[in-house]
Amino acid sequence: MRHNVPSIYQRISRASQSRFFSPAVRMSTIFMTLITLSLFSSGCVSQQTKAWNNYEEGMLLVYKGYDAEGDKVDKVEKAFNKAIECNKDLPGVRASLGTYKAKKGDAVGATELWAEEKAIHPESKKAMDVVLEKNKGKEDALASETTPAAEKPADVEIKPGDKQAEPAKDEKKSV
Amino acid sequence: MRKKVSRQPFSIGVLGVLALVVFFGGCTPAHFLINDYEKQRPLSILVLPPINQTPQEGVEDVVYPIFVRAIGEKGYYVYSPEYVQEIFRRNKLQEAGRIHALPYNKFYDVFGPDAILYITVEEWAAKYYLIGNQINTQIFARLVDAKTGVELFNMRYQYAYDPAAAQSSIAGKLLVAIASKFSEKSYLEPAARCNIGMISKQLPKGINDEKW
Repeated sequence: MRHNVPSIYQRISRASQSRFFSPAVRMSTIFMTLITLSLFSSGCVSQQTKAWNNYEEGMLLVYKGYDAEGDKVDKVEKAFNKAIECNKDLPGVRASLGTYKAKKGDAVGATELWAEEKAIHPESKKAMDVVLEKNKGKEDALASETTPAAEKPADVEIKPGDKQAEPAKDEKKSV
Repeated sequence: MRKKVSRQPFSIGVLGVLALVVFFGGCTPAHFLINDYEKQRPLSILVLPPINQTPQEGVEDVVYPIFVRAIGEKGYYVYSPEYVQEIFRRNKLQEAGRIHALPYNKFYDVFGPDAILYITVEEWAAKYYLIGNQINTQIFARLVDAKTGVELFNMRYQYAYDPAAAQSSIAGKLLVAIASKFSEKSYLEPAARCNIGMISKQLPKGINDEKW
């Protein structure tokens, strides 16, 4: 006796026509699939990458000597702000934006951003305090080289006993 | 009756494993990583402005932000390059060579990082051929513990970037090759990205690689 074995396609089409797969269920399945796909495409990983893309774009613009004059929107500020928008915990971006603002003359905005960086990332406390502690109550947070602070290279003075970083001799091995 | 055991499948298996080891082992570029890196893994890394030993102008300005991103994406807290350079500038330190020559403990005193990354761009040269050209790059990166000065990681990587590699047709390759001869600077970023990507790949992940 010959058995008529249904193909996989036939099985799926029969199953989809059963009462378990009513039009409402089918529609909701399609809807859920679309939501899952959209979440997948714009999930955390993608937001992180977007944040880094924007941060890198801003940094590269700064190093290329970008001049905002003539532009309606400052491209560097836009890129850094977008980076913060995409990932609020992105390391260093507030310090970069703060430095950029300080150079443009917005010392208050700069100080706020440096304080935020310090609060979000305790690792940056010591670095941020270089400017924050020195400039408490001052508007000229990052002054030009002509200010007394700039003339006095006190922070990185070399004292006797300071050591140079040297490669580890015994532990060196190529992997 | 004594059973005859065939050793052939075993030897094929061993050969297969050896072939895989050789294949994948050959893909890992040479680098140095301290044995107990897990114990000494830094949380924060201060990337110093790179030294440019090549005649190519502006290469350090491209390498610096791309390296900062690569280290940050690995999950380490990475200091803002603009901020760091501003502090150096205020201390009349603008040359990368002078900055690298400073004692490592000075960086810890000022910025407080767990480790310092020294970068040197050793080679950056475009070579022109009849159909096409390539940019030879060599970057050396060295990660040092900021408190002890012990070297944690180092890697020197040489990479030949071909601007026309993505083009399938000869006409396309020729067009890109001609264009790249006129705008050599526009290939700084992709060439740097390829080289730095290989170096950062060998550096173990930081604790925040999921977060950042």
